[in-house]
Amino acid sequence: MSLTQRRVAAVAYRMLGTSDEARDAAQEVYLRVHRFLHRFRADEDLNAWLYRLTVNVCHDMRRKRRPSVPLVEAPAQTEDAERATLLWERAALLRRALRELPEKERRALVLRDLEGLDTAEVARILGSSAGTVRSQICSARRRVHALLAGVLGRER
Amino acid sequence: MRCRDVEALLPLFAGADLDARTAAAVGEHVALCPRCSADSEALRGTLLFLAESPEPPLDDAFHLDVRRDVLHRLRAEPRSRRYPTFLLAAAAALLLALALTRRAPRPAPIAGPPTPPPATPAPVAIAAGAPATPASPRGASAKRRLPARGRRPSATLPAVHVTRIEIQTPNPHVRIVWLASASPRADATTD
Repeated sequence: MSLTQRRVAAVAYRMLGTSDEARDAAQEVYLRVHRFLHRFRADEDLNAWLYRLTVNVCHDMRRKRRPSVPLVEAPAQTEDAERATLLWERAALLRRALRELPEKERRALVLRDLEGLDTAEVARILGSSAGTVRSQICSARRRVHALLAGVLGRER
Repeated sequence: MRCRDVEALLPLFAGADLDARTAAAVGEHVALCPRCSADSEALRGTLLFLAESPEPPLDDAFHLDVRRDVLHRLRAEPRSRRYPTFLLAAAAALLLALALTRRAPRPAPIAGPPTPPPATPAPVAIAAGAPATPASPRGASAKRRLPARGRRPSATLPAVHVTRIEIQTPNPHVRIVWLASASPRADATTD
């Protein structure tokens, strides 16, 4: 659990947007692991299986939750306040960009561009074809780019 | 390739998600077209931003919490969590079997224990040559008594009672006829 927990929690956080929900999602993922371990095939990739469970749990949670304004989480306290603020701004920007994506595009983008999986793996995890995933990623990148374009241009 | 075609593919080109042939074609165009080249660079910047985005602010305490809560919930969970599903399935199967049994035409009861009067006239149990006192008055009153076909009660054989029992199977064309002989004493004791 300790080996995979960080990835599971990170994906859940990026899919859901708050650490509280990420905590609930991570818990649910490991409870499902315990419950459905007998369904896991030996020839299957454990990471892919965990990613799939995480994506499904996040989907269920998003469906059930009431629409609410996400809490703005404070920047982490580090010695380098300037760097911390910069990181916090980038993280907030990313959260906002992800929040504005349709769910299918968000999960494809999170797995491909934030988790660094290749398209075929993402397609396997999401149970879609590579072509569908490519199309979702293309659209998601375009949307994120449109949102970030002004900010990134200003930073340069 | 024209600019319009390339623009549609640029997000995939920037992330190296195109097949080799398409990527080469787009690359050729981008090398020659300043506008598409600038767009491609901007998209690469976005992808770099995503790739270098900070990890979510989930510290060790967060992970420790998750682990502790999962273990706590697993301990609190009843061990036989699978049983309710299994029991539900068994109960459903039982109900289904009961429902099917009740829908099928009931075979005629074999003479003997008292039975409630049948709802349909299909089940017929005939006791021919039985003594005047039926085995069960209540059951007998509900049964249609018909004369035995081709067989007349014989006065020369008073001691042997032939009982004709017909059982209607679920198939309306199939009926089981059973001729059984029993001593009067045995019949009398069934009361």
